[in-house]
Amino acid sequence: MPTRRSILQSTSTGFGWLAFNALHQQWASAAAPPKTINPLAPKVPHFAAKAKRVIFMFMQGGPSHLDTFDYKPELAKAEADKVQKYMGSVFEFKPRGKSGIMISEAFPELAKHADDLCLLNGMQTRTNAHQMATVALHIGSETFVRPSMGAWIVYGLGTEAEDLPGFVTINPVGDGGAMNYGSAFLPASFQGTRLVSGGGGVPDLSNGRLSDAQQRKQIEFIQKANRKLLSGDPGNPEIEGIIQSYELAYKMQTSVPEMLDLDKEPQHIRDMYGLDESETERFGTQCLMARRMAEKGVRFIQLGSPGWDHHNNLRESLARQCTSIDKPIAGLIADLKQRDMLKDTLIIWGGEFGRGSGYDNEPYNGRGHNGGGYTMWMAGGGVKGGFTYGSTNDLGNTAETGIIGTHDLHATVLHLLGINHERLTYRYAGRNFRLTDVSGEVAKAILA
Amino acid sequence: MHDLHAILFIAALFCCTSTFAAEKYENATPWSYQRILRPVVPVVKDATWPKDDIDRFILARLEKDSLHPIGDASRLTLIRRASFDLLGLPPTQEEVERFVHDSAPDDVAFAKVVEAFLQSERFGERWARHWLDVVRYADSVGRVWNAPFLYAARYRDWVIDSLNADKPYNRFVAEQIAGDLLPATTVLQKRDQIVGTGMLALGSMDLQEGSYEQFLLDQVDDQIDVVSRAFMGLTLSCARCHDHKTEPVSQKDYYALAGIFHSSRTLSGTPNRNDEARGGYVSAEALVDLPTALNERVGPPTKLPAGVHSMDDIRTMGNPKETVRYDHDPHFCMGVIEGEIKDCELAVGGKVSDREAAPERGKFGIPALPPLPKIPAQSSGRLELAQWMTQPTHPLTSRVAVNRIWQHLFGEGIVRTVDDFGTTGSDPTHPELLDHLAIRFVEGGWSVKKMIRTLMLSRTYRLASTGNPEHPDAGNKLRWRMNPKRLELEPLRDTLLQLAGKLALDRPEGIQVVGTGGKGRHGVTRGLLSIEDPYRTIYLPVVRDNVPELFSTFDFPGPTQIKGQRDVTTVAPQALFFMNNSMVDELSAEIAGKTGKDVKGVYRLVLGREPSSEEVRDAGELDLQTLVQALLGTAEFRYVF
Repeated sequence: MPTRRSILQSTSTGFGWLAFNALHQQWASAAAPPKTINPLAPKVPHFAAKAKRVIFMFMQGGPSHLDTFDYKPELAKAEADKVQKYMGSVFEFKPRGKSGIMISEAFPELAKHADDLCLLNGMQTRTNAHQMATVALHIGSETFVRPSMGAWIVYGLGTEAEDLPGFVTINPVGDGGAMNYGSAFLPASFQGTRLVSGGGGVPDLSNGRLSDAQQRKQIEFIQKANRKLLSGDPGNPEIEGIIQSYELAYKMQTSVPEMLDLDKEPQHIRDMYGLDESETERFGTQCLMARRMAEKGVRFIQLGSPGWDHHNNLRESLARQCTSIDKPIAGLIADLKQRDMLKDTLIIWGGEFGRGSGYDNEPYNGRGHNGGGYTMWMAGGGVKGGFTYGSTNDLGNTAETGIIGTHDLHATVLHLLGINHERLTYRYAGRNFRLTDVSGEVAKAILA
Repeated sequence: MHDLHAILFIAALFCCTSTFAAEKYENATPWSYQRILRPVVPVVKDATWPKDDIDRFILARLEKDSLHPIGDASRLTLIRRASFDLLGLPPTQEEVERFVHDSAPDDVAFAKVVEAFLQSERFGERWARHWLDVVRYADSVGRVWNAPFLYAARYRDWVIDSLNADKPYNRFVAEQIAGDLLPATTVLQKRDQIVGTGMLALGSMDLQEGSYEQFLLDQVDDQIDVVSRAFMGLTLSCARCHDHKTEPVSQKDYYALAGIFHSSRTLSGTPNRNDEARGGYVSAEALVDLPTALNERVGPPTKLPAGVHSMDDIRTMGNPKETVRYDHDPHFCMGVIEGEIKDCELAVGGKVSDREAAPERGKFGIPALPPLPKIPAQSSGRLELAQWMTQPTHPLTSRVAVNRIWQHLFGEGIVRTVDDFGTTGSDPTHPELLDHLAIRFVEGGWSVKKMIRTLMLSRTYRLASTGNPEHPDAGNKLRWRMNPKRLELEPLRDTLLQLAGKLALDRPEGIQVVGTGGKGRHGVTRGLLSIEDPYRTIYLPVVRDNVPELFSTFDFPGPTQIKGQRDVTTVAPQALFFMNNSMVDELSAEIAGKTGKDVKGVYRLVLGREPSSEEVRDAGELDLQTLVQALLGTAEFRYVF
């Protein structure tokens, strides 16, 4: 009688977060026997690339670039000269690392890794409205419902996570909701799995009634029935898929909680991420989860941090926000580095837009939205470290050089993963769709 | 109905005599635009096998490749197949017994089964969901400000009722485009027709879009997209910003069509922030007030009833502790009425700000397709569009419809890309059969039930589904066997409830969505029914961007997308659902309780068959509840063979 192991070995591919297309979707034009295809099996990229996975840290609300990563001495002067409502940085900037890139005092820990960061000071988005800009950043369109960046990437590359989803989003933000990690017209297996920090999220992972032994017996019973069905109907490879899905599901009952169990991490690692400090616990937890998932081969990991919409009280609020992520991100970079994983993990940090150069309305101590020029940064996976790309004008509200729009950003991320953004297409409604629609230019200057 | 037929008839005559100057198109005209000519029914070698002309088309093609159909499915398999296909539920044990032991010949016995299922009210609930997939049905607008559609369910129920009443498909189509403009003999009929236009108002729109004209053009685009793809399998919305890249459709054609919808007013109950309606993003003023007399003007309500009907109504209540429910008004629905009549200026590159001369609305000249009847100066043209679309000689409407029906019974369309009959779509595997069916459909009065009955009584439908990887047509392109079909979310969940004796067969009353689309506990739009509630799945609210996890796990299509063919995936979370979900656990206990302590009884109830002696032995290793749960998780239960 075949054992579980022999059945697993009888199939040719690893089954990741296993999924098959239906038999009936395959025959398209072929008279040949349909092949069982796992759409999430790892795929070869278009060309060799350094980045194998992405950790995307989304800062909801629009973090101020002018007080963090975009140094504007002219703006301070304009404030001193009382020109209009201009407002200089509320934090002091310093050259950091060997590269001397300018980062404000809001990020003391992260600044220590300046030589790993690639600042993108010429970011631009089309709208100054939170929801639309957020959705555009995630799916490439503010006007249509489209698959999210993570879904496209998993569609293009599959996943290397044996028993985990290929696309995970931890504590997703409200603006745009499920659209930000949805698959739209791509099959649902490519959409992001939503987790909340501290575990939970993947439903139905444990059984309250059956012991492990009882459940194993139950699964053996199901599998025997399925194998019998398959032997009588060998032309139906989907049954093979169902058999595999049970084995994987059984494994996931232990592997997912194990991955999410941060108590397994030694104290010195927990300290690196600031897990035991109240200000940094929330984002530190997300960062540490991200590292554990990255190690297991999850392809696209998204982290969410809310609360960056500082229309007033910018100094205090922004300082608090920066503190909440500063140590966790620094810890993550250091931890990935010591595991030799930073080189193939692409970290992306940023919000839906930046903030304006002038005071916002009363009480005149915050900034409004600014999509015309702002900063995101990347680190690891094939980007230059200690590098500043692009710039805004002297007052910091309009991107002037090295401009990266939404489609350019996506084209660049795909390129770093070895995907030609013009060739990653999906046919729907009679035409080939792309994450980058009909434009997008790779920011070649930032490639290491 | 007589009136409608008369109108359609006149329209058909008119179309035949009028011509427009043909434009030049670079792209070739696909097969599907060509007139449907009555194909000759082929002669087959094995004259004893076919039961219907359908079978002759199938067999002739197989014989061409020296292939033969597989044997027939057993009566046991057949009744299960028919029951799931028509009702989305398993047959009762009595139904199975009666059919299996019916001494009448197979043809007669099976015809009785099909007839009984077609008369069941469960039929409409099963088949309506197929249509709702196509028309991007949802109970909220989605996107940036996700306001609830308080009256979408009314359209959903209209689809169910239309199918149960076997409303002729041409009328079903016409009412969704121009129900408010079609003649009616009774006020009930008029109200019913207007509810059909709700389909046009279900689009996912950005209510916070700052430019009202942009919003309107987006709405028109959604309507062109759904109308052209759902009814004609054409992707006309591709021509919004430029001439179509693959179809012989120009940008001018697009704006000629756009003028029709641009001259209409869409009343979804969720107005854009610049709309004239008051009440916030949820507003009864932006709904249709159904007429109570035949000659009554159709439009938004002039006077609002007491109760909670808008976002403003909720806001004036301050910050209530309890969830505020909207009051249901039997006179309200979503829909479309006539608006300010004017042609739509062509938007260069799709840009609102860059406009050129408006083409005359309705005056499009897509090659091979008949031209639209002349639109009167004071009409939007929706009535003429509906007449045009449903004329018996329209080459696409009937082809697309029968192909969709075929797909739901056979698992795969004759044209595999059911929503795309254009250049980029796949070619029909059996082009003559498709045309044969299209003609039969129209000649049979566009009766959906009649078409379903015909297909199901064919020999082709009754074939066994056993596959064979060595077969020269292993993918079954030529239909030598039936395709096994995966049980979708709805029949799967409904069956679990049914087996446990818990399925409620009534419709939930009142408005089952709450929220305003904003933030916070009372703002976020959500459905009031969860997967634990005993209603059939079609009645559970579908809130965009907040679809229950279980739905996505079992391939429920994204409710902003037009999706006539669902994905079928096999993922581990599906297995986890059967293994560990608390609802499955509870229902398994209920089912086990109903079967006594009898393993055979469990097999009969869950799988509809007797267990083998080996199965009885193996089953003895598990307690009864664990056994039920195991059987629910087997591939045998999750497929229709």
